Amino acid sequence: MRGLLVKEFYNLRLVFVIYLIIVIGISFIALIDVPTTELPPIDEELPSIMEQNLERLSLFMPLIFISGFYPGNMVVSSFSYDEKAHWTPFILSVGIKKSTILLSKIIIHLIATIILMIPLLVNLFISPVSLTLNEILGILFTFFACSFFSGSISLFICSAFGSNKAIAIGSIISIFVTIIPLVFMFIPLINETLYSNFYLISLGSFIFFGIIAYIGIYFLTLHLFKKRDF
Amino acid sequence: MEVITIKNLNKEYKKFKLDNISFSLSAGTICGFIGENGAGKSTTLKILAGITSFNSGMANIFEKNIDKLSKNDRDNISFILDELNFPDSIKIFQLEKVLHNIFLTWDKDCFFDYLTKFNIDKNKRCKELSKGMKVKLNLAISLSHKAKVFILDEPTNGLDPIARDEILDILSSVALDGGTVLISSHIVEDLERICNQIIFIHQGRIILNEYKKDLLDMYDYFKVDQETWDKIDKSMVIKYKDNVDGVHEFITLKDKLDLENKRRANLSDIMILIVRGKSI
Repeated sequence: MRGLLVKEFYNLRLVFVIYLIIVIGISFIALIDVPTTELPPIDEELPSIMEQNLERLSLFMPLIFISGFYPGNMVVSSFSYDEKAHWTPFILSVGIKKSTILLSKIIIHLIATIILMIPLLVNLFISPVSLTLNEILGILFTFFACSFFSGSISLFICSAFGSNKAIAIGSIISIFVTIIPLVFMFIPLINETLYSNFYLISLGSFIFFGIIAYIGIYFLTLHLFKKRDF
Repeated sequence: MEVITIKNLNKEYKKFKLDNISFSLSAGTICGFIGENGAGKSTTLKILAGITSFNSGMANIFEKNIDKLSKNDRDNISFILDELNFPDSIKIFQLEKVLHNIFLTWDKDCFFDYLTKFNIDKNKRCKELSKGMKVKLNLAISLSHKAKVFILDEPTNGLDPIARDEILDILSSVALDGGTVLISSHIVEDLERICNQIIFIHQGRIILNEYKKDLLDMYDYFKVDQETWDKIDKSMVIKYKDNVDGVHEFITLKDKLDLENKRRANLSDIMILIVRGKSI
């Protein structure tokens, strides 16, 4: 396992640094995009307080989704490099188990998730937009859910069908996934009473299903990966 | 002691199957695995390397089923393709750090000694190495984790004669030290030079498995014109081939036919006539 992780470190560090720079860049834009001197006061005449709050939260959406999906991209990059280098046949021939290979990809995904969460966390705490605890938790849940979904889908498609197909299928899926934040932004408009707990409840269930998908897909992936010949 | 034993091995794909492959290799053997493209060489080698599964039969290394080999046993086996299996951008000294954590029997000093011996710069990236250097790096790695069984899939493919000669010398010294080498190649002259056993696979079946000296002592090769061809006793001919220029090539068992241009059939003659030749 350690050898696999050292290999991933040398192999993926450049990709990861690029992702990190992009995330930090977006994070910076999210910060400067807010009028720091005059935040618009909550105006009773505007459509609703909630809509104004959602407008404020929408500042974080690009950061959440980009930093949430990059860990999944790291998994795809890792598989892609392995395929190009014919690494997997070598590593199987030296007695490393397929489950260990998958586990190393998961560790890479989790490490990338944790590191890419840092710019988001910094952004949440130093942003001039004051957020409630529920909103902060909701944003973090959304981030983790995105990361788990992208990680599990990437792991599954790369292991079973190869990284080329993963890139193609991933692109299609990402189009649909971008609809999710829109859905989440419109649901509270239907039922205002849910608003105060909306981010915690609805995004909490989102992350719950994300984790379930992550674990479930790991075992399905392992099953398919074991059957695959190299 | 048999180091590699394969018995009634079957592997079925949609358009190809390995059909009841059986052979064994003892310690110190260099075995050439020959056959045309798609004959099943790589599939057999990949099964032995534990990369590809098989449908039925038995594949043992060190008298253990390949599925039950321990990590220590696996470290004693080296599978080498005709290319490097490492990321292009990684430097060789970085690769050492990776391999150090993969092989239990890794010897760092030995690896750097081999790099010096083979003139490989440890600061170079894998993609900067020539094809010959890549094969040498693979061999340096195998020797540094103290492999005793070498499974090589067309390692000399695309190499110039000098690089090939160096690689063959390294493999010969491996066998002299008691190692076992199973090598597939299209360059039968290379195999003829270093191997002491030859296995010939054709359309998923083993059609020849002989010691090299016996095989090369088995057949006579002839190349004759139409007039001579019409006169000879065809019952002696094992396989023949009619060339477009009217010349006939054929092999007979040794000393069964006496013609002026008789010579000992080499591996290439035997392989071509068995695959492409016709029987009388």
